[in-house]
Amino acid sequence: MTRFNEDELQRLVKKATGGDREAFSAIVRQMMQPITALTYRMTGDRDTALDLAQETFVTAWQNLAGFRGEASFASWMYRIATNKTLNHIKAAQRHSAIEQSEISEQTSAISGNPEREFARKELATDVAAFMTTLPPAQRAIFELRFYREMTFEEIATAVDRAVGTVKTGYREAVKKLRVFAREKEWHS
Amino acid sequence: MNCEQVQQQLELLFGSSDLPKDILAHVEECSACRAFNDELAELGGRFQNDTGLELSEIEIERAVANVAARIEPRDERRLSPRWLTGLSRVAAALFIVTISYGAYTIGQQQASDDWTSAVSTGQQTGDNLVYIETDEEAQMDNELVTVLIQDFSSGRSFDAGETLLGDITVEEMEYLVENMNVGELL
Repeated sequence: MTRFNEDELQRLVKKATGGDREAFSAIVRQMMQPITALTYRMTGDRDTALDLAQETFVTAWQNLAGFRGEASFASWMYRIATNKTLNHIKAAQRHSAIEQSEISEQTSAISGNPEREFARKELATDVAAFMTTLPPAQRAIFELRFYREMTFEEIATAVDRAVGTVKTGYREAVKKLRVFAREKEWHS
Repeated sequence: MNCEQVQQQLELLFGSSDLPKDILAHVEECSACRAFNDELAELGGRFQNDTGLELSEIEIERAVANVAARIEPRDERRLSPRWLTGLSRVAAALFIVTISYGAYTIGQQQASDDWTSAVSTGQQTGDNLVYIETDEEAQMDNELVTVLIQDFSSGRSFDAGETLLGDITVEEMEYLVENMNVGELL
């Protein structure tokens, strides 16, 4: 999970709430990577993930006055990103399902050590493939809990479900992950 | 806590680095639950390394610029629907007040016109004893009063005044005596 300098983030949020666009750009710069990672894991499409991340920030700017600091700013942002992505998935499902083949074709903008890069891409492909086995809401729950380390209560608020439903969804996702790993013969 | 309960808790704790003491104690003593926990720990470790989609600095800066171009300065932002609702209510209230005031003013004017019309057509209103002249009589009296004023100013005799008084009925005269100061009128 990406760690933020909370003090710095709070300072920027306060300035941005007062209309400081430079401060907001600094927030975008700091949070674009984790927000895009979230939207990417949930959609499996690079361009869509980037578009959704940008939409998330535009919505956040428009609703900054509504951020009361009850949850952390990062949680608030993940909530907006999750809702945007779930809405996008619902709309996309009306046209066509996400194709497994599309996910495996995604490439990374990072280049470096070829072996490490290969392993990283292979893992990203596996994770993306696993995520597509989950229904959208469960995908969001898994992403927010496992990768964003949000509490079940925060997730329940983010996806507008009961805490019990969220916990059951997470346990279901973990069960599916174990099945997925057995099929991939990951276990030593 | 039995094994089923512990494994349910381990599923919920998937991804957490620390286990609660009671769960940890059970896992250390139970081989089935220990194997279950090891399996989840391995999966968690593997998935934790995934960073998702990694963006280059150029992509991040491009995205920052895109967002900056789409956000409006706060003081130039469009009014929110809540503001628009409030403003339309105020506008509606002002409209109603304006219309009401306009109707009241027109009503007042109409009443005044009615009175003027009644005066000019010689109508008698209700129990009012005031005699209301016709246009012709009013015109004639105006001329007589003008002559009377001129006579008074020039020190001539009150011929015109006598003529004017000759036109006045007994009732009008009584009303004038009771209610009017002729000196002031002149």
